Amino acid sequence: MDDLTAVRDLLGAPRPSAEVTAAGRDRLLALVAEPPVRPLPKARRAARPALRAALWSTTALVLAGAAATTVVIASGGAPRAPGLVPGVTAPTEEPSAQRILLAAAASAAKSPSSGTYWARRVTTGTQLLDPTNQYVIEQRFASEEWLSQVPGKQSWSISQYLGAVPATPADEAAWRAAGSPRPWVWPGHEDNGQVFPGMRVEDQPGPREVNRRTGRGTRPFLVKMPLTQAELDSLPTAAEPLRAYLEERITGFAKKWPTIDLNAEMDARVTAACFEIIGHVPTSPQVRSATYQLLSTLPGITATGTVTTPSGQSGQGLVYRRAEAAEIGLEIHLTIDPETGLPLAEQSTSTEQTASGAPVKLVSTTTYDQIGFTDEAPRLS
Amino acid sequence: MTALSDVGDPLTKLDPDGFAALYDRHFAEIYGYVAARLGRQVADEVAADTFLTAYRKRHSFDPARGEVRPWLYGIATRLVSDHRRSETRRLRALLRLPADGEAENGHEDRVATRVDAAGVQGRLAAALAELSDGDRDALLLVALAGLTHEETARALDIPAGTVGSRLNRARRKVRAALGGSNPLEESNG
Repeated sequence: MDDLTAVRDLLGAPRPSAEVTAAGRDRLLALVAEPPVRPLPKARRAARPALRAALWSTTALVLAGAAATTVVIASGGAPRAPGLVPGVTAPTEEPSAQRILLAAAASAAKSPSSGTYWARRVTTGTQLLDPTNQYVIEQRFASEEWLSQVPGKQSWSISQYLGAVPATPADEAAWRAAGSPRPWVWPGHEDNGQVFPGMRVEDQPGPREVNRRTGRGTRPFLVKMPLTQAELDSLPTAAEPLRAYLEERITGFAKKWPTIDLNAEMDARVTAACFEIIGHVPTSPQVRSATYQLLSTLPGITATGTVTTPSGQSGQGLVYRRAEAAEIGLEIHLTIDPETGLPLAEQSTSTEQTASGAPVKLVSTTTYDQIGFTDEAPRLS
Repeated sequence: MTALSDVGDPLTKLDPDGFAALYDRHFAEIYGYVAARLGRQVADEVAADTFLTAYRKRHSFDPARGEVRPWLYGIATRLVSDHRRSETRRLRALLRLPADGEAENGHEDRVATRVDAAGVQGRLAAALAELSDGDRDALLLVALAGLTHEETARALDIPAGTVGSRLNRARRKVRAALGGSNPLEESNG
């Protein structure tokens, strides 16, 4: 047998499922449909899976991936990330996830129900290994969405690259020992042509980019499908009807994709949709409250205790775990403030190896600086 | 196979429909390549990431330098290289694979049905695992993607001569694993 044929036969060339093909296409189209933002390639290592892209890209991309992107693929182990600092509360005093969610449900119902804009401002920290794989650097991005709630008023997307630094004091020491290189440049192909330049991570912040959002670009996503204003306005305001609505939406989505096993996956997909609503969808206080109530009835969510976000806010950590494969767990980390019902941070973790072969945990954290209806106006300069 | 003209304007001028067409035309084969190397689970993400990366890097695509397909495979290979451990794990799994092809993700991911002897298959997987990353990239771009030496050179952005020497080395080891000549007798090169 020809050796190349033998290799082909050994490894195969599986066809993608219809679901995977459609999901990838949706992600691409969401990205293509974005208004132009700061050129991203040089500020990002392209190889991270969807989540890392989603974290600092705009919401459309995050939401286009829906469950796949809000469900974090982590490499197992206890979530104990640099981004979020656990508190010192004694374990016996920690409230259960259910109590936290019900408290959030009560608080969320009291949040502002209208405003000139629905605003979402987040700061994202994404860690990656330096070009020599010896220490960890962290890139930071800020992004804002201002979705107009008033006819005729413009919606906006604002983004800014905030620069990069060694992640921890130990990383900074390693960086200094390496001669304090900056910016960080990966060996690429600039010398041989323009086909695939190496990555470059700037240490200095970039300009603030302000872009108009119009038409379909202003629509939020839920379960991989855009929500029309009519759908937004009619989202159920109680837990059970909300669950029924989400199941119907998920079933409608799954109809096209026979590979989805709804019997096995419905709870997980409903949970992921709830996290989407809390972190990304401009809904009424009543819908947010119902979402927290619904989450309190779903299995798999546990409390991780009091945590402090990178911006210094204190909240309650929740983790949703779902065993999916022997080696890989799916995890969502969300920190919320039960007293306001607002999300404070989302987090993902991946494990890589340094040049010396030591495992290193890389964390991506999205911190919410603002989310909800407001009469404030965006800063457009 | 696919010249740039097949997708219309240069990539920088592609509208969303144009990029969707690029995706529709190439996603299945890019997915097949990535899944062959990393398994389906990782490929679900990485194959789509290839096109997101291509879109972000569309300004760096130089039509004067060649076709879209090698460019996409080059991006995919870069992304694969960030999952070396998945690749190693997959090859290790193939080492243990029974001859009837029970595989990680069920029947769709079945492999090796035409490689009849488990022993040969295991040796082949071991040989692939032992190749240097650069040699394996070159070999699999030719074997799986069917790229020519020239296209492989463009995908990896290395001189065509380097592709040739990498391929020679890799194929010699693969042939040895398949029961051909002893690699120790031909190890110079």
